[in-house]
Amino acid sequence: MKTKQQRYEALVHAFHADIYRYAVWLVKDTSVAEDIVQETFLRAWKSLDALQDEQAAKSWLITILKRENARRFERKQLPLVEIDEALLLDDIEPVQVSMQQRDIQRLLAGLSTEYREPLVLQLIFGFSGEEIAQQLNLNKNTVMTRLFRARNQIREALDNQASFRGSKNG
Amino acid sequence: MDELEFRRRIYADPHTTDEAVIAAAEADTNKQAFWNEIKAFNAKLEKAVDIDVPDDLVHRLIWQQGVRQYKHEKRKKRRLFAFAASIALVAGISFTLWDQWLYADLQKQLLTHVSHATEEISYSTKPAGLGKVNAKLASFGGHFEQEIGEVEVANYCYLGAVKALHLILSTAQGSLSVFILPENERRAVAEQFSDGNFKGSLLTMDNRNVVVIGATNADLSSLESKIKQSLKFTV
Repeated sequence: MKTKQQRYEALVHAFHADIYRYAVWLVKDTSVAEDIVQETFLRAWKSLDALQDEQAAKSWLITILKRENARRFERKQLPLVEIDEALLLDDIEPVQVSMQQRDIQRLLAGLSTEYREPLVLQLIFGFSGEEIAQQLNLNKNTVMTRLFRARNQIREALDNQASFRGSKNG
Repeated sequence: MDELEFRRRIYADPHTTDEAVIAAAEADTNKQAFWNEIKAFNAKLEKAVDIDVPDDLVHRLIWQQGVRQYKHEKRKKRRLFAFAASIALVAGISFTLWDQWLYADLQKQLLTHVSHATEEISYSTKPAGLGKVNAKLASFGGHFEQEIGEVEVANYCYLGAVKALHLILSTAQGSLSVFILPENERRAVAEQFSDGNFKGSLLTMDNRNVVVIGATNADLSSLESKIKQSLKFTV
């Protein structure tokens, strides 16, 4: 029989990386992301007995993380503006990222939350359309449409950039 | 499946296992090529979201929880200690009060007891004959050699910590009480005492205290002399 401490540590090891990445893409600020991840795991300790299976734990952590993020706005009464993307990107990947990788990150960060959130859930956690729908309390068709538009926007922007750079170089 | 629908489904989920999508791709090499292209694009997206996690994040998450838990336990211990302390305080006070009651003034206890004697009479079986009185008196090591009067009630009673035998007699002087106290009762009682309603007098016999109590205007002497004649202690 594992102690509560051991189960907590197992939970942290299993999920902290993906939860942190999700937080960064949600708030677009690494230090704020760390804060809300810490708050989320503190809450997880209290509900540890309820977090038995993996899928439930993942979905629970995401829900709490979103709540903590919303609370942050209430607490500080910050205006709900998106942080400047350039600022974020220097923060996330300071060096050694290919130009295209940086472009993709910038475009991802530039997506509106309603498109970025389902896409990030799919990319990080490998959630299915149904799981995303459940997590975000949306209808599955809405989710599929948003996923389509999210990828479409990024791809079109990349194509435009390529042809712009191409024309400049050529 | 038309081109647009195929593209929508692939864009929405490049790893789809939808049979209709798979069949469409198998039937059309252009569609398969498009799918491969989107899979490659998605691999880049997956790489882009897969940002570095600070190395020490795991340790900080575990550490902060430990700190929080430690503080919580300390608070709990402090609360438990405060609780135990208040229990101890209440127990201490109760014990002191109880102790005071046990060893309170015997004279006062006797008079108070007598003032409630009418209640005792109404609940007891009457009258108590010499046999019954002597049976109760036996545990005090004494007995009456003859009747001392009409005993209405013979009951043990507690005066603080001490068990005494209480007799209530119906006499020409009204209702009189006799208390036979055990040998170990050492609290002081005056030879004569009174509280305005009742008066008492102390008889010392064979190292035992016997107290007679009646109304302030009653003459106790006749009963006193009967007790002195009749009550004998063997132990």
